[in-house]
Amino acid sequence: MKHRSKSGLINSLLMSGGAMALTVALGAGAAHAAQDAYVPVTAGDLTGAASSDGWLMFNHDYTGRDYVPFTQITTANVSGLTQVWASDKIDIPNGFEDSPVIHGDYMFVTTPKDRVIAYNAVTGGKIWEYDYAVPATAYKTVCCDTNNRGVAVYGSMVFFGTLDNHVVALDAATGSVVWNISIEDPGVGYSISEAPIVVNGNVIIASGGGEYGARGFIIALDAKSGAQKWKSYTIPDPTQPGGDTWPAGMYKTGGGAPWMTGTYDADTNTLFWGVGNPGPWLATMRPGKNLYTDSLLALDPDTGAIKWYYQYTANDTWDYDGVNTAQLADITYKGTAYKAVVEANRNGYFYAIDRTNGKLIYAVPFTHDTSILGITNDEAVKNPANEPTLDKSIFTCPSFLGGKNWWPGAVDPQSNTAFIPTLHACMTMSGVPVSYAAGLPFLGETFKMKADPSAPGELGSLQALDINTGKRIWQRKSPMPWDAGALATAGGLVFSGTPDGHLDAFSEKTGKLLWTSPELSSGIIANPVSYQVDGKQYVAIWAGWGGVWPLWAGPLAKAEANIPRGGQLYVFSLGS
Amino acid sequence: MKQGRILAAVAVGVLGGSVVVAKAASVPAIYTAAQATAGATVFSANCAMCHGANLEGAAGPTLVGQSFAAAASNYTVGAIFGEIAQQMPAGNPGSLSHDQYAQVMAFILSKNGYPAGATALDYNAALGSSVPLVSQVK
Repeated sequence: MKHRSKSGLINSLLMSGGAMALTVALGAGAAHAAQDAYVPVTAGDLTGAASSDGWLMFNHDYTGRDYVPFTQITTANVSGLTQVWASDKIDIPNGFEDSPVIHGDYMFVTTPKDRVIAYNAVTGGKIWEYDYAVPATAYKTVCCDTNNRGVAVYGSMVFFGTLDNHVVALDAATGSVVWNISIEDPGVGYSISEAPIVVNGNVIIASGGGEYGARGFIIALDAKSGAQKWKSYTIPDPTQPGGDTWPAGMYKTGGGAPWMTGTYDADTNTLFWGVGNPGPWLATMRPGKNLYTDSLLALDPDTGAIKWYYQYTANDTWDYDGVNTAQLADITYKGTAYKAVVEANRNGYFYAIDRTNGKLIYAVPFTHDTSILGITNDEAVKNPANEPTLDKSIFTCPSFLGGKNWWPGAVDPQSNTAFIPTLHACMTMSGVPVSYAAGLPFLGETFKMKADPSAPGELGSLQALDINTGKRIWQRKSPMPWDAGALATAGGLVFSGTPDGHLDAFSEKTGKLLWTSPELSSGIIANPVSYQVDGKQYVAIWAGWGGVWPLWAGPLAKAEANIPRGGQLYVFSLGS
Repeated sequence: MKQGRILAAVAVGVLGGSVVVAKAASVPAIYTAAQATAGATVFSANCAMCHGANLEGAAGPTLVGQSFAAAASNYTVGAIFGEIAQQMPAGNPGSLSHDQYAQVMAFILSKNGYPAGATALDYNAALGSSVPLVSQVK
């Protein structure tokens, strides 16, 4: 690690991708003539985001539930949803995975390749646009598209991370750069794709790069200045607790990328952050539990100290990252009340964990699973027959993309129902020799997606789970992968998008399809969001096909090969 | 600085997308022109959708220039070919023939300033090749 002076860090703006960055602020008289003055976001706004009219962070609020309390759009009237506005089509042929952030009548979005745009949330008028201009070196170590999943807001600033490992603060009203910090060099393994989260005045963000052996970390920067407050590695060194779960020296290339946005419990001042797969993928090369890969970490957001962890998959060889959103929920399981976090894991199990101490409450499979045999002593029991070696090829389910990948599901805290966009696929996997080289993939396995023999003709589903019991309530199956996020609303609705370009609304209770949008200009992999301005409820979604499925699903993705590319943001509301 | 970059971009355009350093004589010729030509077709059909038509990188990494293989990276032909032959195309690894994999490697070498010669690149020899891969394209 390089230690640069604070001023050097800030000046790195002038030396790296930021040098070519461009902000375009639109002149008076443009479509945003009625734009309100930007009202700074307070710490109280963030803590109270669950009941706000806006969508103030990646997963709406600190609980990570992707749930809005709005009741204007309901099961009874959703059939009347119509398009209010759409952005211009953005000609980037990569996946649009952004969840727009809305505060007042300002909407902030990101596109692949780290562009940030501010729109008027009511009219769609563009307020400003900032193109970070990612340097070519960063593209050397992307694994899974050039995505940027969004911004965080606090004070008068908008924060985002970049593919070349910068964190940038922009003025929310104008898009001009306030600070720009490099937290790692590009091209050696690290990259950033997720949205930051702001907790107690710190901008908290984390590294990607688990396919390149990059040792994962979570970092907190002072929102005002960008100065580093703390940095915690997800892979302990030999002197730290858990350091003995790695063969000598392998912690340096152990992966564990915490590449999705965390969640936060304000009551206990605890930050929850999921950790990705170990490096290399081939587990026989690194005997041990390999902490804290494939784990949920509970951290002190002010110091980065780890309070506790729960490891979903020990010594993982299947790429079952533990990064899916840990959602806060208060549940009653077998007569006992728990303050829980729930997570639909890549390994195919749905977990409920006591968020006060990290103890498992229950874990149940939510898709066909031959990798995990069950839960014993609160730990997943792996199927040794399905672990590849240099001499053994295996077939197992779910695939390396998991029973669910990054796209956020939703939790309705009123009914305690989780809505899980699910993949149904398996894989073959074989061990191959590999040695670490900075900037090259560090896998040691070759792998192919295969159809799930237990679910013929079905690649995806949306399912509802009673999180008090772990039991499935309903499931909607699809011949297409279900690789888009889900939004739940107090109007009794679940919204989610499809690869063939429709935003759909379902009944929370039954899963019945109640509304489908006209065909949008591309397929959907993003998460729908909802907000209210001046008493009117809106639902917004990016179209913009790409992401992991077309990259990695091989022959299974043939049906989606001709989906038009390019991004376009659509906003819907009830007709007046 | 900014003006310099713009001028450089113009020069790249004039030269058709690559600036080859005049050091090529020190770089070994380990594939044939016919392999590189065939490799362009294979690349276009199987690789370009992620790595870009000009190897510039898109959803997948860039495969040309100093952003791909600088001297400091210490890459060998064997290391890069191993990735290609074992892991690519992503989603369907091993689905090309040995000849096609060698052709793709030849095409990538050609785009990075390695000269064609009389000896064809052999699949097995490429897997074990310790020839340094340092892009000659600045």
